[in-house]
Amino acid sequence: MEQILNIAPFKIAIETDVPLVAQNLAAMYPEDAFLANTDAHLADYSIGQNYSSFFRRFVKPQSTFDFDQQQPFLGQKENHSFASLEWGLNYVIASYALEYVIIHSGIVAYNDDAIIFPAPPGSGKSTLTAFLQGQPDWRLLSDEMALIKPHSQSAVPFVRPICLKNKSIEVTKGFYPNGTFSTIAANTHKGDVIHFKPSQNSWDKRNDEATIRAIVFPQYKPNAELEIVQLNQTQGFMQFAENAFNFNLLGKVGFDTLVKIIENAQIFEITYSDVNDVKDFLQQDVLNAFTS
Amino acid sequence: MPSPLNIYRLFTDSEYPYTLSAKDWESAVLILRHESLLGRFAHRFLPLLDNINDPDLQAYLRTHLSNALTLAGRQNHSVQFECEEINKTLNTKGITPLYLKGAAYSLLKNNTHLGRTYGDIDLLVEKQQVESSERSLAMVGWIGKEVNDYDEKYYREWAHEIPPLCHGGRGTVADLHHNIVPLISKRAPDISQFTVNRVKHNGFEVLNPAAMTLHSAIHLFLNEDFTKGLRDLSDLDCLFREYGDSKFWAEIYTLAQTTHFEVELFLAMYFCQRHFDTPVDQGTLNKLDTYSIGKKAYWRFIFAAAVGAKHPKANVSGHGLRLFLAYIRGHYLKMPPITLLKHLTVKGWMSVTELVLGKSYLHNKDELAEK
Repeated sequence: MEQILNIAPFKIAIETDVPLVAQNLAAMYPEDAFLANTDAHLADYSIGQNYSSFFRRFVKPQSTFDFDQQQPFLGQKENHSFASLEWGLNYVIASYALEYVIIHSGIVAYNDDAIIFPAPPGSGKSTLTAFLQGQPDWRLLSDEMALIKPHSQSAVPFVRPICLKNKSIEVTKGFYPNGTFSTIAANTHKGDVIHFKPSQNSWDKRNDEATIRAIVFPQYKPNAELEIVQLNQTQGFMQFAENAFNFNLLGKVGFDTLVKIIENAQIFEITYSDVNDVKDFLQQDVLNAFTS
Repeated sequence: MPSPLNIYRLFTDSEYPYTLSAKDWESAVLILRHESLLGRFAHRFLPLLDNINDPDLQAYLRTHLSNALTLAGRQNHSVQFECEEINKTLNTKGITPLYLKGAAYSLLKNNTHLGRTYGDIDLLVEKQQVESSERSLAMVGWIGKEVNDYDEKYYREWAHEIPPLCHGGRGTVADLHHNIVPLISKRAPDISQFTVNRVKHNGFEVLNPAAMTLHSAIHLFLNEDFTKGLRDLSDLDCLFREYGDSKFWAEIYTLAQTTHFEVELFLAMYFCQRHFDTPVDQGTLNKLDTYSIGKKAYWRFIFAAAVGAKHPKANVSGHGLRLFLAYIRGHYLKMPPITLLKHLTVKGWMSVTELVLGKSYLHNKDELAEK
């Protein structure tokens, strides 16, 4: 059965014969994201997560992601299926959605003012993103990729379940004990992985663009006091560009857009141990000038 | 449910696109992307998009067609860059490679290259230059892809090319050829008959239009892999349309005769005319057409799927059987019966294993995400 999922700004046709995937999709996405397959809803991309073969349903169950009838990745254990589908979708969007400049980063907004966290794995980016998006007046745009309209500072939300790895799972459950979490994908190549359903406010505002005000490179350090270093544009640019997914495909458009953002945003490197400090800093020192 | 959508008509009938429903368009985008033809279609249809009245549909198509064109433009740019790098490397060894297929279209900037996307870069050197070319390219980062022992043996003993070379930093893939047809087929021509009238364009050598087009026909019809069959037939349509003057038809006919590829040229012209309304030279086609009605019916049967869209939404009936027959035919033409039997047994075992255990069973275990 093919189902069209409205994951604004895209509509994605999804086919799966893995019950675990269907179950997680239903738990992780809001009800109104599931669309009827009619003329009014055209799928932008068609993906699937299906058992690798008839036998792989029963023997060492394994499923494979597919896009356009091709299987860009190898099969995954059955309990990795939902994570595999989410990662597969990241790949499709990063490779084909060239109408946006895409930065590999978390992105959250305080009302309509956005902060980008471009950072390597292990920096605490996901934990920070997961925490902030659930705070009053904050919302998630994406935990994995910032979609930016070319030649602008406008980020388009791409609200999806937040991918939490290893330690950040327990930490996030500590922040949001009543949150909705997916089944666990244990021992993937990224470690243990769980997806976390974003806040209602994030879903409600998933069609509202936000303006990028700051780029923050976070680094989690146990017991550290908040430490903030403001970077200049040159320092910021190189780090920023390294995280651009489709920079090479877009060429000059990508370059010009990154320059525009860098010229109009503040750039910080922060070391932190308490996410509340980060939130206060962003709210009081970075965004207060913009909040209307 | 297969859609009644006719992908060929998107290219041949200027009124047809305006008769499609929104869901037809959704299938068309899906199918064209799958067939690597979305860029070519985008190049032709993007300027006409204002004629689509439904604003939502127009916006949907604009996004996907523009993206396909951006991607194709980028790949064209990258092919240009890679060929410059390869030339620089090989020229220092006194080797002048000749670029084939997509790379050649791109370097020539001919009509076939407009909106075309690429898998890899095909280049041809003389047989005695293969080893030294391989070594020089390795020095600048082009490393042979690991293949299993069986495939390695196939490449080294029977093939017309060496295992694909992959650039370690950029991920681009180059196929180094010394002939255009596998040696084992006994049909490999004296390659100089193809290259004798090579053309030099902006410092790059390519085949002349007749040889280039005949090679494209051979590549499609003397083959067993029809994954890109529709795109390849569309390439031929573009080539015939751009180059098909009387001199061209005389040259390609003579070359096909002297190198014994009349069947392939016939099939290319026949199916282009049949599916793309290509204005092929009727006199040449008649001269080539020495085949019985039964033979042509058989070809129409097996090649309908091979040169058609492979996406499940566009399948012709009996799709699987037709492709299987085309696969066997392609192999049969390329290998003597005993070799073919061996080859099909090995490949058959592999595909059964894949079917039962999933694709990853045959891959290097380290690649597997699971432990």
